[in-house]
Amino acid sequence: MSEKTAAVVGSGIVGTAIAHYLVNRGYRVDVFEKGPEYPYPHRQPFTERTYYRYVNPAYTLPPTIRDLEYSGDYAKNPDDERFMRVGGSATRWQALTLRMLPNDFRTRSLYGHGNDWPLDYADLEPYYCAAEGLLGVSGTDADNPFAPPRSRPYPLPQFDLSYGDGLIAEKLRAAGIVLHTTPQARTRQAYDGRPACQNFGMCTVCPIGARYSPNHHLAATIATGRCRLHTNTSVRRIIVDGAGRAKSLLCQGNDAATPTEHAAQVIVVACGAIESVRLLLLSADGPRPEGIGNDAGHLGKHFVFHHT
Amino acid sequence: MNRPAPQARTSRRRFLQLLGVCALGGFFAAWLLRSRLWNVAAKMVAVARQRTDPVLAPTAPGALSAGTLQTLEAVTVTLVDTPVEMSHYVGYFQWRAGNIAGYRDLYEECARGLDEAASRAAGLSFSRCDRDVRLRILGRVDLNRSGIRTVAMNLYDRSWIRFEQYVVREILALFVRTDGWVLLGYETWPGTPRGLDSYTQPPRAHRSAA
Repeated sequence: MSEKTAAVVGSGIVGTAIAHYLVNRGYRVDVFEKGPEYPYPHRQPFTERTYYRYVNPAYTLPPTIRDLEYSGDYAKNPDDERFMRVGGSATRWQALTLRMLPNDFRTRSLYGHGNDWPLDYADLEPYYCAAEGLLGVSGTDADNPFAPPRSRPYPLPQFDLSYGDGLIAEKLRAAGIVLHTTPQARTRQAYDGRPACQNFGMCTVCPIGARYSPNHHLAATIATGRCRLHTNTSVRRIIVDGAGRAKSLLCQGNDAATPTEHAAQVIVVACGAIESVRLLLLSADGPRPEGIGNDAGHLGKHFVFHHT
Repeated sequence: MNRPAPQARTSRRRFLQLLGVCALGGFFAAWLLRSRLWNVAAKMVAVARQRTDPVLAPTAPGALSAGTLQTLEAVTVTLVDTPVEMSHYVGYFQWRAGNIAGYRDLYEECARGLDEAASRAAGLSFSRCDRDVRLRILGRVDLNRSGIRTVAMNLYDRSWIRFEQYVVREILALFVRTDGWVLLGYETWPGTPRGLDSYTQPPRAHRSAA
């Protein structure tokens, strides 16, 4: 019986989770990352940033995808939010893990705005629970009257409001406004091989791995011996077989002169909302002149970032 | 009297004149772009920009001399004027000198300049002068200098502009992020492990007041 193989494009929070899942189900997985290795736990970048006020250019977005153009009224520069390195953009985030509300899936029906989703909150709820378990989310709904229903409690207890937040919450409560704790992928207690948070005062870069970083699961997945990580390697296109199924990736080391083809039974595109779309568009071929998955012509359009 | 309108003849002539001017202009621009004259002009612009920009030269990082470090410590205590944990600042200077291109030479250059000024004022090195002398020397620091004055000063005293930008500003920024918090009543500053209990309690200063 031949071995099951998978190739994952991108080592961020999604790519890593899928690689972890596939390895646990017997696949041999290759993960391709265009960016460089990023030390984990992130003590070095934390120290540079906190003690020496230095943002190492090795940990920022490479100049090749700087100066993205965007339209509409989106107020933030995507440059500030995207990171291309092992672990992806979730190597540097606040780890707030709010769920969407049931009404968010039916904004057209309820408010006449946007479009309804083809699935609803109940469809996603079990996956929210699984993701919270993977990331080690600390939280409670006890102080949040707006919390959506959940089938499982948070894996870890909440972080209480700070002294200052408590003062504000008290004043707001008197005015009928609720200020509640926020679920966060940060360990209130030791969890899944990660230490408990020691409250370094900033979550963006965590020196001990208490705030979730995909590098945690990536390291564990690689340690099984069934996952290989290819850093500084660009995936240039996806090659599709006659039946319309992705069969291989055309990869090229960032310093290599020529690309090589990497075949796998399962191909996963998980390199972020911008780069994933770009790869699908670049993979156009005869039967798919507008790119893979672009039959309706919407690929790369209507793009929004997460809004939490 | 069906003579053609004079305006039409004038307009045609005018058009031909403009066409000629455009052709000549295009020819001259193409010649300029390909000529050495263009390279000379580009170099002059680059030099002018370098002279008016306090950016650090990318010289090799390296260890600081003990004297330079003492001068930087003296600058810190003079600027901040409150008890600080000096090891933060010493570590900061040493790390930047040892890891970021240009910083070691910047620090050495600034220390030399300050020592010369102190020697003229009091016959001592900057770190050995008393506080009043050091304050007089640092009195030139102006972090709100207008853009045009900064550009002008860059032309005749660029090392001072660099001192303000890369030494004074950074010392103050480091203070705000570290000892400034302690001054406000917090036990520690962001970046040090504070545990999961104290952050829900009032700051020390508030507790003692209560």
